[in-house]
Amino acid sequence: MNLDRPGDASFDDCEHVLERVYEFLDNEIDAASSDAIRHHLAMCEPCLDKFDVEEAVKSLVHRRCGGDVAPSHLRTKIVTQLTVLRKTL
Amino acid sequence: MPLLVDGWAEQSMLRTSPLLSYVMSIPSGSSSSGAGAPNADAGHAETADERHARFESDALQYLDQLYAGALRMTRNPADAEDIVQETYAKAYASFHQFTPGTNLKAWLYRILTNTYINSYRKKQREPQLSDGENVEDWQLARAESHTSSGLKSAEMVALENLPDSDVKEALQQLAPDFRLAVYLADVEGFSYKEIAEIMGTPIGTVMSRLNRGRTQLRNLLADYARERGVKRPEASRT
Repeated sequence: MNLDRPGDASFDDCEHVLERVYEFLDNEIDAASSDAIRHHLAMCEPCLDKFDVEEAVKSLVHRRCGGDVAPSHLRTKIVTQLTVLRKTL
Repeated sequence: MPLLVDGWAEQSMLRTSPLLSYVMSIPSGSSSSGAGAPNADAGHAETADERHARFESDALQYLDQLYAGALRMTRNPADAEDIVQETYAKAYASFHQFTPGTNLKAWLYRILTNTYINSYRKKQREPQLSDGENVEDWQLARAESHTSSGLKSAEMVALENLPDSDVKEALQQLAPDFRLAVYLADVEGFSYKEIAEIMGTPIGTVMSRLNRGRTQLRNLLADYARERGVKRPEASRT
């Protein structure tokens, strides 16, 4: 979790860049490191491919795995429950 | 459905008035004295009714999201409903401990997560997912970095065409800790720090769960994508 790793020389090699792929995609990385990674990706297609895959998966999960709507009887149950609790608490 | 709409109309009116909810929340600072008890040294103490209304308007708006999260955790609707209902009861009872202006959704998620953990420990029926790919995932992912990402470009197209059920199913196959970390990061967009607070773990643990969870997920999705369409003769990720 080397969030504070300095952002230049270490991003010359692919291993270090790939190590930070998730932090990069999750926006958990400082601006300098982020720039250094972008710089590397601009020149290294294999790494770029790898980043693309990770980004695609992240975005797929984002779009497809949420969005379930609670059944309306659950909402009713909770509202009723809160009213009961309101009297007892 | 109409039921749902009624509730929401009222709530969204309250929600659109940040000033109102701010004013309402001011005096609840040191209330260990019970729900909405008048506070002598504050100008205006929030009454129990006001706090009740504030909880309904602020907390209930996350019902769908919490339910979706619970569904990913428990993997079945009945259990998901149970833990969401329990979560709201607990949250309501300790709402005075919540600091207005901080992240209510994360706070609710933390209660949800604890509730889920307690319930599955109690029931002992959450199958601990086989380490099917018993990869030391991130190490392995690094080792194979340039040779195999598990997905090639044709498969990425197939990925986009996977039905929702496949994607959800792949996520469901991850071990609970990995699944939740991935869900909180990718679906809910929580920061590492927030996930650490929700899951009660150090940030380093969150990162390692994300690394391993995503690596497994990517491999599972690659399998689905291959099964669904793109067949490559050399298709094998080992």
